[in-house]
Amino acid sequence: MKPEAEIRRALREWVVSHGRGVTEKTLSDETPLLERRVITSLQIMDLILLVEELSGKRIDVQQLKPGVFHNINAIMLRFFGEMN
Amino acid sequence: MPTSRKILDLSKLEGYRWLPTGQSALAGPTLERFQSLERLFLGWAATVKAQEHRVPSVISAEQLKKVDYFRSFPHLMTLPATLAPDGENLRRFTASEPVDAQGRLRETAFAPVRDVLTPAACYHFYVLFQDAVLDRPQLLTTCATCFRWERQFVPLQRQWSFSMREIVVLGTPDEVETFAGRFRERIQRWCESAKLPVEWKTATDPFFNPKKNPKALMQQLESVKTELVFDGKLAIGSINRHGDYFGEAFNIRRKKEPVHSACVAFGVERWLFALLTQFGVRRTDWPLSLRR
Repeated sequence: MKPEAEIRRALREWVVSHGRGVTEKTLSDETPLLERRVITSLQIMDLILLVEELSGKRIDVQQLKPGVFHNINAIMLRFFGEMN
Repeated sequence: MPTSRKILDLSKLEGYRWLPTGQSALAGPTLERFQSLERLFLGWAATVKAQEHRVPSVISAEQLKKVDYFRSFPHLMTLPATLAPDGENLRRFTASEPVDAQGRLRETAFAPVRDVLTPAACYHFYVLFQDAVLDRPQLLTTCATCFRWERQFVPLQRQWSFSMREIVVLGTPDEVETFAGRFRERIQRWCESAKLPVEWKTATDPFFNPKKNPKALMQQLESVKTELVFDGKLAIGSINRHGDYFGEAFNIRRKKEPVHSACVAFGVERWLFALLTQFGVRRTDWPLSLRR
């Protein structure tokens, strides 16, 4: 798996280029992604595919709990938890 | 988990009639209990000075399209159809027996369908405030007869047509959050004092093909829908936070941003079922605030 800093950077870059209303400067790892609709239903499946690609693990979408995509920190904790 | 051990025998319920098409008819003491619940909800709406509205029975398909209703809930919709108005079509319709032996209408040609029977009360408010710029939060309430087609119907619990009382806020994120928090607390306190066994559960709307619908996944991830569940089984109400979804879809703005919204919804027949199960039909056995 890629180093943590590289994964965070990849996630940030993806959110800035695919999300709504954020720039490199305004997006932090604590920016609420779903609550502020930076990511909507149009992008969520692609974000899950990106996380699968970065983690090398398949995600069972039906088992996902509320909050796991709240912000980049939450994504790191849930899907790359062993790195923290 | 709080539960009820009581079972409601509808066949002995005075003034209650079940239609196998998935609808309830009420009269006498059963209707009186229903009306007392409506007064309770109206009282709660009055605590936030919500303006009461009466909304139409149908809503335009063109408006519902803006929230992708037809891809999300095609299995639930009920359409108000009319015959094509040309004389020849109407003559053909009346020329033979209009209803066959199985009770099916022998329709000839239908006019194009442009409306849907109201599937949820609050949609009417987003249409009403379409393109508005709000200088203060809007608090609104209505009780609409809503229609949702289901594979199976259960008296008072799952009906084709049912009464939905909603209290809705359109405002800033903070105004919406305050509204949702206050109502959750108010409803919780009332249920505790009435000794109604309920709990709050995170839920999602009944999307068509939810495994393939990203909107269903978004609801699952965001925890935006919280249901009030009676007896561990039956959702009798819900609090729904929409973010700026409707504000954006209907171009409603507040403080230069798409307005945020939330609604508190009560399924009145389901509340009736819960209260009848718990307390019976006699007024004097019901919680004090429902005896007026």
